[in-house]
Amino acid sequence: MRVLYKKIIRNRLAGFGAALVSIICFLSLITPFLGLPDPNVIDTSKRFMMPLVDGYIFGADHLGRDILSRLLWGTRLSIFVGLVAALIAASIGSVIGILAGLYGGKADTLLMRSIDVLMAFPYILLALAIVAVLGPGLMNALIAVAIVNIPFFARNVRGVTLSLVQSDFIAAARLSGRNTFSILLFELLPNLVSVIIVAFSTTIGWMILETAGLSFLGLGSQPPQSDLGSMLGEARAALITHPHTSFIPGLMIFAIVMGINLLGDGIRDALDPRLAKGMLRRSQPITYIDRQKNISLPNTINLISVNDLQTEFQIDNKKIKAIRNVSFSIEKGQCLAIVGESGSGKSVTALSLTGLVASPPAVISGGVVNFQNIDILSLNYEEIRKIRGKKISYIFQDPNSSLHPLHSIGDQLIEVMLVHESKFKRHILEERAIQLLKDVMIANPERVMNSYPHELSGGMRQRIGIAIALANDPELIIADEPTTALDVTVQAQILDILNRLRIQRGLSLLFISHDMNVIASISDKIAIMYAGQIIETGPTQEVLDQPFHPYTKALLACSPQIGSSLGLPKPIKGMPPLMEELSEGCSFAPRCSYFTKDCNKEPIVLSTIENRSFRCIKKGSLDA
Amino acid sequence: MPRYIFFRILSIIPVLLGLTLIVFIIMSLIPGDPATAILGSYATPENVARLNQQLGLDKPLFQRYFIWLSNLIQGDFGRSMSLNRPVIDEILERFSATLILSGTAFVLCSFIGILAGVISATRQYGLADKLITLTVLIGISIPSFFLGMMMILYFAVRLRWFPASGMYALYGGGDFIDLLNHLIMPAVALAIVAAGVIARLSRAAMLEVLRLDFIRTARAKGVPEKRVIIRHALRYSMVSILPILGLQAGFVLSGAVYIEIVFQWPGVGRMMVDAILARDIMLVQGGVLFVAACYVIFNIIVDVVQLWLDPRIRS
Amino acid sequence: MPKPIIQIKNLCKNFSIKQASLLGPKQVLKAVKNVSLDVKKGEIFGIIGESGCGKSTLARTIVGIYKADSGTVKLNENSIENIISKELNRTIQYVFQDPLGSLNPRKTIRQNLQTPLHLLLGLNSHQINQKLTEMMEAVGLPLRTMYQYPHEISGGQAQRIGIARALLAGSQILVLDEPVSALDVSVQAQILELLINLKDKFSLTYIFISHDLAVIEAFCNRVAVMYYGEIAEVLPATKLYSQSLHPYTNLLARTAPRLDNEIHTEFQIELPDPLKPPLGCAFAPRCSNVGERCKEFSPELRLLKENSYVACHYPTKQ
Ligand SMILES: Nc1ncnc2c1ncn2[C@@H]1O[C@H](COP(=O)(O)OP(=O)(O)O)[C@@H](O)[C@H]1O
Ligand code: SF4
Ligand code: SF4
Ligand SMILES: [Mg+2]
Repeated sequence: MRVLYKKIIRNRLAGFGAALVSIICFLSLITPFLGLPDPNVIDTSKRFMMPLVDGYIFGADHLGRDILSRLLWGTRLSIFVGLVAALIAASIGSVIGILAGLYGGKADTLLMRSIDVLMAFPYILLALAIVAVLGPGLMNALIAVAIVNIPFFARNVRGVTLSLVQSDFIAAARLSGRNTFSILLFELLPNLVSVIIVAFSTTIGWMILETAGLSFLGLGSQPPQSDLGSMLGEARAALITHPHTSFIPGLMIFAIVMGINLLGDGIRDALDPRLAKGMLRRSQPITYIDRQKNISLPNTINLISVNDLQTEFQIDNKKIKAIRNVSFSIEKGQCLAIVGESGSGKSVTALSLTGLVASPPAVISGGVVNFQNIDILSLNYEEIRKIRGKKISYIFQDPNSSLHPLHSIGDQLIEVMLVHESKFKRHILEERAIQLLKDVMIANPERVMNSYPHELSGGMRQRIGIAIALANDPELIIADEPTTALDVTVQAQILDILNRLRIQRGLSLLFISHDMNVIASISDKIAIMYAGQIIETGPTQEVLDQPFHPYTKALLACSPQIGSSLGLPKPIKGMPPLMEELSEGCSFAPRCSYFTKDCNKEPIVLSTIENRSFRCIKKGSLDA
Repeated sequence: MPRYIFFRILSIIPVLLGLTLIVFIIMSLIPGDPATAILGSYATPENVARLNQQLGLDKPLFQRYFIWLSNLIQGDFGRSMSLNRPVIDEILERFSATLILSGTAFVLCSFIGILAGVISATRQYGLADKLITLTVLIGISIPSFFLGMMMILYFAVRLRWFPASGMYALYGGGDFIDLLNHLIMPAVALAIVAAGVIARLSRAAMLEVLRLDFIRTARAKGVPEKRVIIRHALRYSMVSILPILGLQAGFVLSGAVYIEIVFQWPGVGRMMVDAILARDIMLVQGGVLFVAACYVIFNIIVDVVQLWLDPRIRS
Repeated sequence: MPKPIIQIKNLCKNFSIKQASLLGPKQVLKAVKNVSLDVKKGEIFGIIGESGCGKSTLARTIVGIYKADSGTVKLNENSIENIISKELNRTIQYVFQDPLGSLNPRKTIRQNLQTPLHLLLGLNSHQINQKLTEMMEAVGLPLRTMYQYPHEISGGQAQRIGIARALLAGSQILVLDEPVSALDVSVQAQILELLINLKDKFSLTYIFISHDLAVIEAFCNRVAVMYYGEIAEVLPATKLYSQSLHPYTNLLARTAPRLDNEIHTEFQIELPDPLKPPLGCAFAPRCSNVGERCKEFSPELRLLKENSYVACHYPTKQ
């Protein structure tokens, strides 16, 4: 609650809304004690008195009644009616939603069908029909507005309930001995409260508007009782001659609703966990690059050589270094594998090469990406865009989410050729797309061209991903865990296709995986990452046979291998360090079995022995 | 897909039936005796009974429903007491006015709303975003009838740009330009609230979509950012924006009631409010049925468009 | 020979799929078909298969989260239908694949964990405190973890909590549904080690589900290989790599990555449509041993060699 309060206050607009709402509510609470003139006393001699005349602060209306007094009494009434209507709608709607979601099946169908029928009326028709039946009057308007808003709550709450009911923690609670009723009370409700509060706070303004509207039409409060809506309705006749009588109540409704909406948005933002994590930030087409000046670009015979690459995430004014001083190079036709546990910085490395890390929050803060003797990071957006998908292309981890679900396979394949080469005719591109599908072993490619991703299996989707990556005959393919989401047999096929096409076309490949066993067969060189650094690189076979870094050695020992009859894998004690609390010295030190106190003294520099390098003071002597 | 559309259109029938049933039930809940209402309080009991028989009111409820329904199907919506003419004639006359007003407002609000939402999302936290967010906030907080009144004061009375009320000029009007002249203010007033809601939800939808994996794929393919926004992000967002448009159509139809009153637009909404105040039940009932049916049909169209947009629900 | 602690006979579990339209035919997905298994006390029984083959469904049916459509599950010779649910929960527990998802996000770890102690075992708060302290130590977590919320802990810690929750119910049998698949290898090895220690300490029986052959081989005593909702083969874990009889098990073993492996080539990998089961053996389109009987008759599970049951007309000769 406290945190929530703070969050709302920190949000300036919401704070303004909260202040506005509090002032208005306070005023309407103390209205009876302000000693204002009776709002209903008619004095025809004072008709349409202008504001600030004769002690009438806001003037008088067409019957000579004091507008200030009527305004405050009307506000009181409007807020009260809106609030009660919202409470009624929220409670009935939530109960319906919870029951429908919790019991599912027939109860759900029945309840939701009735709600659907209610929603088949534009809301005011229903309100009008209800008022027509019950007769005009404020109470009836309140009932009408409440009924009209029930579906909104019911639907919202049902949706969330349904997804909660299917979640694992509910199943876990059942296994822990909870029955349905106690699940509802102790497991569901705590999770639903915030949903209901958000729905409530974002609709109450709307409800006040609607009741005011009915009164404006003359269907709500009846004279002499009057809320803001009927004040405005009565004043309308004199709109042109005496606008102040309309202006004042209209502005008041506006102020109330605006204040409530601002506050409601603040509450919603504070309660929405995704906003808290800053995940709803729109990412720029290219990562922010903020490097020190005078970058030197040494010539290289490699296809790509990366030097001292650094990328950090700036979250809440904190800088978290996701990758630190990453250097590697890939020759033409070579395959480099990057291996490491999750969070070690593999993906950030891969995406940084063409500025694809989401910014905000990412910033590339140093390093050079020398690709064919051009520093990619010094190019502008359009130049980098021309490299992406053309000279350097990507294959991503999850084939279920990385293809566009609404574009046909054919369109997605053709697009990648089209955006780099617009002069080709469609049918030529189509032919090329079909050929690509054949290259990745898709049976009946013509049909698949017109299919959509959801119609294909995971393995097929990933092969489409490969086809897209190959479409423009790139120099380098970056595959970020392309087989992690797949079954072993499918994985074997993907590896086979990738490897064969790479060799056929002489492509270079940057292959990322967390699985030592997978990279062993495909890569020439290997780089092992830990806590944002490459801690060891070298020819794959040599590193696997004789690791120089204790982490590499430990990683090999804890990766189980079928048919090895080594028994249980040997765990590495402890956890990878949090990136925001890295120490000066070796980041592996807390988990290392070769640790000596020198390891924590200063940053470990890269040692090189022939074609291998590593970051460890033991210099590779890891026996015993 | 045609199969689905066929079934979807077929499914209008039960919804419309449900609609008529609800309207019938609501209307039969109305206290008081229609016959007495028609004949006035001095009517003799015999006259009341005769009229009741004439109206079929002595039959059981469900039988009355079917009689009423078959009359509806034949286009007989009953007779308006206050206007003393068949309900259907009055509604048909008024309905075109409402359709012009809300149709224009709907097109306006969809277009402006989505455009504002997309701009706002792509320039998140930029100046354009802040301005749009503020406008949207004002738009969704201001009562449309108040907005309409202020527009009359400023644009009609003060600047004399547009006529303050009505659909056509009393003398010498009647052509398209005249209609347009009368239409602009009410249509804009009506569109602003709905546009605000659409803009806000489009912005949220776009932001949500812009961080999905396939957007990163599109960028990695070298797709130019404009195309990423429109062909990839907006295209996907439309799947969640479209149902909102469907809902907003209801809000536009609803808001039309206020706007018709403020601008004295001769539409169904104004007719219904007058009818309620005059206790002209037949007219209210006809109006409700007509507008609701129109809304249902509109939503079916939305569904079909949705189907065309989203291949995932096709199969 | 001791009686098996779990006996599964002809278990079937179907899901009805939402119809496309009101008038369309109602579709049934047979997730688990006619599964029969015995698990001995103290055993670690592995279940392996590709995603969607019915592993989780089978597991959830065994612990009573799903209700079987036909067939029986007996625990200690009592059919689970006859065991009252609290007693069932005290006998057998389930560890979820997604360790975070199985914890209520609005509650502290402690509040999440004390439910079974309170509701299943009826302990008072003093006893609960003591039990929780013991259990946190047993799963290797510092006590302060209890006062954190699920989103504040790592995946490895969450899985330890998941195991703790299952053990707190006092049950002797744990069904572990891919408990290490979401974890990094270094943490995975820690959890496996923990599971072995707990098994000895509390004399537990495990059903351990995984799609990772290497883990299954290293961790389990016996393994059932599932394909398309059915059991293809049941064999000792040590035979998994080189002595399996079913062509599908052969395939899995051949394609499983190893440090010294060559890249394999395997082309037909698509599974049959789950809604339209083929006549005969479901594996036939991908099978290297396929013969004339395969396309017409589904093979029954039978004892072929010592300890090896296989459902195949033409098993691989070993
Ligand atoms: N969008 C993001 N916002 C904040 N931190 C991030 C983001 N993406 C990645 N990180 C952090 O960067 C580090 C490296 O992540 P990543 O490259 O994804 O690792 P890997 O690919 O090896 O699993 C991790 O600490 C991760 O939490
Ligand atoms: S530097 Fe020290 S702590 Fe780090 S890996 Fe080498 S031996 Fe271990
Ligand atoms: S039954 Fe036939 S098709 Fe099936 S696995 Fe055995 S040999 Fe292959
Ligand atoms: Mg990654």
